[in-house]
Amino acid sequence: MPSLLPAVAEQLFRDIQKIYQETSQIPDDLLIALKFVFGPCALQALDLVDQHSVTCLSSPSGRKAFQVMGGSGRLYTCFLSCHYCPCPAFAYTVLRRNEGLLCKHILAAYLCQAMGVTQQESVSDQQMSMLLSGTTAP
Amino acid sequence: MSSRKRKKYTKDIQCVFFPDDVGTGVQKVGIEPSSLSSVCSAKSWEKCGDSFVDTPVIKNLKSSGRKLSAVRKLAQTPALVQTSANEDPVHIAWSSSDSEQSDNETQEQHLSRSVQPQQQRPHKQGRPTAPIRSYTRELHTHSADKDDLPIIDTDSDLDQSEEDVEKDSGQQISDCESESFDEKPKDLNPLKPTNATELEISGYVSDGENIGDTMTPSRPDSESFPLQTGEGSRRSVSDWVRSAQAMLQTPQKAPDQQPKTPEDSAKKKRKFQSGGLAERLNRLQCRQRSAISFWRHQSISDTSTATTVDRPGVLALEVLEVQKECSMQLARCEHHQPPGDGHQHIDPASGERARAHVLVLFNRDTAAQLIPAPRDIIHIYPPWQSLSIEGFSCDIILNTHFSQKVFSASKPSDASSSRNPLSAERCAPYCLGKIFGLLEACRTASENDAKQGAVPNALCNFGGPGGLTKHCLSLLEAIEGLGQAGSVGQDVEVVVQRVFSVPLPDCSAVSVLKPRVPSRSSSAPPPAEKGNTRLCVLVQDSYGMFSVVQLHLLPHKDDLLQYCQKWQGKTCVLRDIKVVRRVTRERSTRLFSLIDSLWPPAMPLRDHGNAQSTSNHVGSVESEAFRTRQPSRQQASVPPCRLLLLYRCRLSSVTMMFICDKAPPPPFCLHTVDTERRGGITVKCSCLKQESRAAGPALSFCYLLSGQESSVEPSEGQTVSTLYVPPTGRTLRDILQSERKTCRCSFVATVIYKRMQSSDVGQGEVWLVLTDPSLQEEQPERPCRRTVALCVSTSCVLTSSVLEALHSSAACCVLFRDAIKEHGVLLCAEQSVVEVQSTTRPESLSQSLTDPQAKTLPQPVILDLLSLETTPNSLCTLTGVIVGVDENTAYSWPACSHCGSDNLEKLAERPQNFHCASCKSAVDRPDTKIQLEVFLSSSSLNNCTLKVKLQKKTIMSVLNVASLEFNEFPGYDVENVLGKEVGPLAVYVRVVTRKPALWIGLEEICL
Repeated sequence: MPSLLPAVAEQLFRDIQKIYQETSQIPDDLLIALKFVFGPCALQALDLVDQHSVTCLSSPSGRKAFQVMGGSGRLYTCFLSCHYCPCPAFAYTVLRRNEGLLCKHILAAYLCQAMGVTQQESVSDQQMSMLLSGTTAP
Repeated sequence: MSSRKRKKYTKDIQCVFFPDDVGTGVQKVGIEPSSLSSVCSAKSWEKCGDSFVDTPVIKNLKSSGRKLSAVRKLAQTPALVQTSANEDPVHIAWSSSDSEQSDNETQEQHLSRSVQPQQQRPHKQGRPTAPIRSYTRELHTHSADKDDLPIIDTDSDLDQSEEDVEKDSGQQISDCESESFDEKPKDLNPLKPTNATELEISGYVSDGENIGDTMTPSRPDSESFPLQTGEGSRRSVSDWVRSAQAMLQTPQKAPDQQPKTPEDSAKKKRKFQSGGLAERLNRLQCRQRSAISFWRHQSISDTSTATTVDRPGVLALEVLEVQKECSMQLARCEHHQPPGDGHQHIDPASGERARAHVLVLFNRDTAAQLIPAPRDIIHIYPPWQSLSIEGFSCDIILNTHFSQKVFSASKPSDASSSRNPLSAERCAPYCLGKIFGLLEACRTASENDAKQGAVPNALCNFGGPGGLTKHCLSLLEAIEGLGQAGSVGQDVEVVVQRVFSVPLPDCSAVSVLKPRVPSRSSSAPPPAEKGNTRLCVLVQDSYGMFSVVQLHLLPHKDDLLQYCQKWQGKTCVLRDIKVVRRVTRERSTRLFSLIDSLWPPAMPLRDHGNAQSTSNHVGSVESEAFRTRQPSRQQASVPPCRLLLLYRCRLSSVTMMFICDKAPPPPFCLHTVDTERRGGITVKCSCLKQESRAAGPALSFCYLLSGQESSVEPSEGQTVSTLYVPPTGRTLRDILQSERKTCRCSFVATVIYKRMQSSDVGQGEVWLVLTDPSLQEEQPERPCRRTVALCVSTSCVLTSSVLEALHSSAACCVLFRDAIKEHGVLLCAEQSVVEVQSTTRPESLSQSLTDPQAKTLPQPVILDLLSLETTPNSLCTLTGVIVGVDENTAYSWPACSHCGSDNLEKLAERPQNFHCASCKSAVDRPDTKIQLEVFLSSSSLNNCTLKVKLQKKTIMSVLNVASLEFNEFPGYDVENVLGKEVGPLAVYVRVVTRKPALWIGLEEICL
């Protein structure tokens, strides 16, 4: 069988996006489904969404990246082009153990995108390149 | 921290820390692997729990915030021993990097820390017991560190790390496949878990440089465990536990445990933003969790549920293929047709195949329980969800928490292989470079728009809250499936059993609302306008569940009667209601006395079928602690067994055990009743194979809902519902002689006397003395009181017509609906309705209530003789001899001849005349009021002080005064009065004092 979970996740995001656009709500069943697919991550990600922790940084050159403010106040830079988050949960759960699709930060970024509640922020090209290359603390 | 965590840890402990348990536990693994935990862990948990209580060691560690480094070093020591050149980068100790704060530095460390777990294995292979032992030792030296490390490190983002830890420790038992045991001898198979865990442990170990620094409080403990051999480990359990616990104890966190229900790691979550999504999910999750654990409990204890397939919403699936994907298991299944069903079995090779297939996702917990394997038959009970994905031919079933394996294809012998939930083929990690659609949308904003339009609602629910129909018959289901902010999204069909109104306690808000009150209310008498009242209805659904619905404020109290006629007894649809709170019998006995009066129901109630029961699990567990079986029709003719209750206990539900009177001599026929449920209990009697439905007690709780006027809408066809239990009029005699201490009763009675606390009826309590023909008629066989007192409390709303009737001096006939009889006293309070019974208005609340009034009362009414049993606020007659006069109370005063007020002012110009300040009129000949209280001795009551406040008429006869001239009171001679016989007097009993001696304060009244 081919891998299914990414498709499930994608479909859920689409559903959330559609329903949220129509009703400005995420119904209970979708929340439960999120929880089922993403496990405990879902709750934490929703908390991040509630806190408006996701910012989309864009630079004049057109580059973009997500910044998610973690529960501890630390900023995590997540890429748009692939699933990556510098948080330990991503490294451990997703990369090492292959037990989750996403970490809470990336999930929060997806949810914020689906709901259209991502904060927007502009940064200079230099800042962006430093962020993406990881040469600076954000 | 949480007890949950502690439990989880014990589970880990149990296969390790308790010598006894280790032995048995491992044996079990060999024989019946899947039952690795439950019994043992419970046992060890008990032990653990016991010793947690009494160990003082905890304290030492509790405050050891500073000992982090020491602990860590302890962790590192063994690693040092084991470390070899052969480093496996896979086993980097990720777990200690969980703290987001210390992320950078720890990660650096990790790169240098690596372990070669296989190293230690060779010298264990020879002896099967060795791994246990060494695992134990490992745990003793490391495990505390292993689980604690992340926590110790963590100072901020607890959740993340705990989650990971949970995953890890969860893996200790279940992840036994872990990647690299290929070289392991087969005979070690049963012991896999321990090795796997060991591997885990070493995975955390880091090659610390400093061994000398290992003096930590836990070190002595671990050294006190000479675990060289299995025998050596046979120490007393309490010692084990003590030291283990000492090691496990961490400053911040109680031991971890296997989650009983899936992923409840969120339980420890701090506060979420109020009204936020996380909060909502958390709430949903809590409900789901309790539902799942309850369901599991039930499905384990009752295997018979497996046979019930043909219920709506239950998916019967045959597993074709299983694969592990992330932590979940994905099973490709086809709908299972029972053999011999007559249905055409779908040929797996045919083209129909894809359509009949579904993909089912099980989360780790469910998968661990279920262990799906090809050819297994699995039932999935609602609520589940189905998701259709673009480009996928078959639906994906999500939320499969209520799953049960009904047929296992694997024989017990290969259980050892299927035991491992991870035996399923693991799917390759998905490509991180392939992101999901939405992030792209961020890059190319417009691209996705067209696509979105075409997306249908992919997720559908079955049986879950989201999948409920708009129209619902069950209050419970509607309430449990409620959406946001406590509002019930569904329409519920109910029968309005009662309509009543309650006064609002204080009406500071009323002034705001007042302008909306129609002007017609101004015509009503003033008292009726004081305070606002809220319309309420007591409804019952066809399953027997009750709820009180608070509706709008009544602009006019008298409107109540309209609503009574409009709604009461009718089947109505409730919509747009919100749940205010749950009301329990203990907290509101009066409401439940009303509910009890409507019980048992007038007609058989519906049963929640099992399918619905299951769906109700998402929500209050208590409500669905029931399972009933429909009585079948042909059995109805068999007289039901008489069942004698043997015992009754309450766990998650009420369980009762009966013995049947038709049971043959021993062995007895015992009946374990399913459980108590609303609408009574259904007992499956095994002796006659019959089911009898006993009318059990009504539910112990109901809901308080709120809504608007539009929330109640009578459904089509204005006939009275068969479920409606109208108030049945009873005679007062019947009510008084009834054995029941507390009950509701409805009756028509004549008010022969009323006594108000304040001048305005309706403001304070009103005491009414009632009688009816049943009390007045000759009572040869069972004498009863002739009159009865009834208190109308302020919580009972009196309509203007009632107030009017009570204000008038004439005796009036009044209908009391759902009055409360409490400890022999009648009371009109919440939910009681008082209505004047008049000949001009034949349409009363209930026609049946008018019947007792067909007989007329004798004139004058007969009163009881004053006796020792006389209670306050009652009426009786008294004949006695005056033995004393209370001279302090003997006086007379002028009063207005028009209005009776004593607020008279002497006119300056004409001292003989007065001006009444109350009615603003000149009073030429004021009445003279006179008061006299005397002590009587009655032949019927000895040794009793009777003080009677006499009425003017009696005073004058006592004084032998024909009339009082003007306001001249002639005065009296006490000697003349003493010894005079008075009576029979109709008196009202004001006070009865029994201590130190019987003393009764009476007041003569005029009927």
